[in-house]
Amino acid sequence: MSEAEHHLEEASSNALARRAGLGDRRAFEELFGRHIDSSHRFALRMLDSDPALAEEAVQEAWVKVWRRLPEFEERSAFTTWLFSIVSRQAIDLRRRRRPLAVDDQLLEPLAQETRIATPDTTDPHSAFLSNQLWESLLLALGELPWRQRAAWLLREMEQMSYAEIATVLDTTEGVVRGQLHRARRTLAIRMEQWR
Amino acid sequence: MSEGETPRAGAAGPADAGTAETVDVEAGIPEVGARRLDAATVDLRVQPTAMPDSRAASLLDRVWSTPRAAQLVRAAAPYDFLRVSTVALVAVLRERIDGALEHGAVQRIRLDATRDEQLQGVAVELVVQYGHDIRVMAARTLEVTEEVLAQLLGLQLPASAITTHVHVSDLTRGDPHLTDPLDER
Repeated sequence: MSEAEHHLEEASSNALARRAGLGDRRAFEELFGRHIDSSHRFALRMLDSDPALAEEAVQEAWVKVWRRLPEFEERSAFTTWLFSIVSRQAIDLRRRRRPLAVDDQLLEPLAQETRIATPDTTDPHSAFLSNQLWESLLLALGELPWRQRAAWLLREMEQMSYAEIATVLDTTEGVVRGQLHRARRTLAIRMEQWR
Repeated sequence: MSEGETPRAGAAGPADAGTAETVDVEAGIPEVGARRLDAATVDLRVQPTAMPDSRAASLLDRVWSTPRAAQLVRAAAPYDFLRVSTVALVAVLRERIDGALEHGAVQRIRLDATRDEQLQGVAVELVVQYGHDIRVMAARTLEVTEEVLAQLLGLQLPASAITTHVHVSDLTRGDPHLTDPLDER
């Protein structure tokens, strides 16, 4: 056995995906460890921060990843393939839910909401205001059309390029640019109203 | 995720983001709202969202309990009562071939079996490191494949009526065990 067999942590995700597709469970575990947090974060934000739904979406997505890896033809990178599966899983779950009216909630004082202090914030007043900002952003995100929200999250939270987002959402870079611009404008208008 | 790119808010813009200020002004994005959005985006990034370890572990257990599509292939007489899953065959072939090749790794393995579970063909696709002798690697791959089929199924190649092919499907500059052609495009 070569040295490389023992150094999975040095392997790229695409190399790990190739091996996992051929039945290497240690490679799959390494892949899972690398990407479970980002895939969970994406699902959580796509599903209005509902932890139970996010977990369900992520679980089904990773089961599909395991089953489909042998047929994964590597036309795209593993990461974009994974996020496209998570995205589809999340939208399937969301379709089963009754739409929630969030307009009344948006940008209202969030005194009843749980507040999570931002790391490194020592001033309680600043922490309070900061929490309101990101919590308001979450509510505003919930109002965005699905693909705009996905594009914004992939760009701003997962730091993907336009090309990668286009692959995940099965569209073109031009469409992604348009979606991101509309998302940013809508979010900025909502945040402008914040008090 | 692309290297060399950074998210828009709270940092220098991504390489393909264009000129954010120009776009914002032209599109009438409100300035105060845009600043708040950027600040909120930075805050949102640092909010904890990780799945608890115990939940992640049970999720992985669920994955392991999910079978992959497989076919059974029959061992050679006198062990023809034995059937081996193609998933297991592929996994063992991958492990042994990858272990035997210093500058090559398995890209894909295709097994061809009949409806009555007779293995008819094995095709191994390799990704090899640029600058190394592919003939030596192909010969070693064939050798290992024959050893595995003999051990697991009792098939004696090349006497058995099984066709074996070794293809070199792609090249890498780095160690193909650790990198993939996709990483180098």
